[in-house]
Amino acid sequence: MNIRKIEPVGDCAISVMFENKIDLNVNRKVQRLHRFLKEEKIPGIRESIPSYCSLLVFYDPCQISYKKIGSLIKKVKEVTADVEDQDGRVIEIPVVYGGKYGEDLETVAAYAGMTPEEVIWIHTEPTYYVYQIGFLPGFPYLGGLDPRIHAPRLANPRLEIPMGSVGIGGEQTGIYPLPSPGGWQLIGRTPLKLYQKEQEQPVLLQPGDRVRFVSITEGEFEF
Amino acid sequence: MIEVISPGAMTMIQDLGRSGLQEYGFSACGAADYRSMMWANALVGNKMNEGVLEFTVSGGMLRFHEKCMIAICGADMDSKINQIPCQRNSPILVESGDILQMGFAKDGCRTYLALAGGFAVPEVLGSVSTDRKCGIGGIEGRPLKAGDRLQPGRRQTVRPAKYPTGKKMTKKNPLSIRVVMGPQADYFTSTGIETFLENSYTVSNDSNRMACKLNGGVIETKHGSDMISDGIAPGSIQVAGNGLPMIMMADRQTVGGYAKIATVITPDLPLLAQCRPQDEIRFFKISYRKAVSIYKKEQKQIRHLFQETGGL
Repeated sequence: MNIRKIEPVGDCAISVMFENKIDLNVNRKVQRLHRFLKEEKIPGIRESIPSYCSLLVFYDPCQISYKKIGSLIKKVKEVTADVEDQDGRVIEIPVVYGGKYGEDLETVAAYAGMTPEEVIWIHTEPTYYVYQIGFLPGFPYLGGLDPRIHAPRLANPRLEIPMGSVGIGGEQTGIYPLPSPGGWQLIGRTPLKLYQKEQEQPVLLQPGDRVRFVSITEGEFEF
Repeated sequence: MIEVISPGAMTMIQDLGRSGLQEYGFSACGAADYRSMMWANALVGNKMNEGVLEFTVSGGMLRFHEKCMIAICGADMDSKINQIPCQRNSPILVESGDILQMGFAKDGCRTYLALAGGFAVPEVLGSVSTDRKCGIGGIEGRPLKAGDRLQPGRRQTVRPAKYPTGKKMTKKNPLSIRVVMGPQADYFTSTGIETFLENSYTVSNDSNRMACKLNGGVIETKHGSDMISDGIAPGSIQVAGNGLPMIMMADRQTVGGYAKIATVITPDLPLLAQCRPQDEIRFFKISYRKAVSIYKKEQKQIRHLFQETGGL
């Protein structure tokens, strides 16, 4: 599974590090190990956080040892060596671009040297991949943003960004599932709820999902 | 019913936090000082994970409208019932009409009040812990405010524990905090690691439940501390771009992009939760094996305590 390093993190966690890069295949390995540990329900393993190229596994040392987890992980390598990775779901995110919904669309366009319409076209073109969820519940770290519309973060982050805002920060694009401070350029907003606190499954997106943005007009959805 | 006359600086309901949801980006939350929180529960015969009130820096004023049993643990906030000083670390019987008044923390930062039977608040995603960022848990996902009415939980209680006589929270200055190095200690130069281990740091004013931020010697990195973000454990010590350490606490975010030089061992997190701005800290490196054995020892004591009461 090309594990680069396994290291203890304090007394209750283990970091399993894969190749140190942002890469689809590396991330799929992380998620494969994450799913394996989750499905096996190994006594003593509490939960794990998958990220770009590593998995942080929380465990109870009173129930299972660091060494035991290490050997379990090596076993996964054998068990899943031939398993084909399946791509996750494709989720369409409807977005009203520009205007009061995406105040920085013009800025991003000016920075890219193109029209706002071209930015929208480029942003809705790819199928993005959810590498990890973090920062806020349901906040996706998406891969696949076209380098032509990379845009610097704001010098002065906003104190509150409305829920559903779609932004660009450096080489990344993402969606704010709930109101939050933030420094990304806002290009639009989705009426889709990425976080619903009363639901049993409170977040929409999961690592491994794929995402497409679809441009809609203001009247098409109620915010 | 318990009426909140004044809530104090920041008072929230916390239990031991949410589990199993960090992969979706939920902070674990939970009592910052789990040890004091558990003791408060043990003293009134609650289960160890019962929700308690966590007061930060200053306590509030509460009026009890019925007879109940409470216990106050953690920092000394000069608690008085009907103007008469009341004991910490001991069960207290309060009568209907009694007023509990708390002042500023004298010897720590956080105080925990457990109520026999707990508080009647709904569990959200498996916990009653208040998560302010998401607006869930506790009372409407927010700190208490004046006028709130807290209903007792009426959950079955067990035999209350006795607080050992002579057990005292003594605080040394600088406070020695034990760490396991890594998981990204290799991002730092040997000079950087020496700076981290050989100097004392002071707790910064903008520390909170998310992170205990420190001032002191700037830690030298090999090529900066930015990295591809990965998962954060409680006690992870991130070194930000300014070279200063910040220790991730109960409300930490789940992933972060700064290299982590070391991790504070679990049993020392309650000590950090009781630190006040300007307190001095010194890091002391131990092996992960030693850390695990210290952790197991404490867990054994906790299990023993709640086995005796029946609150496990």
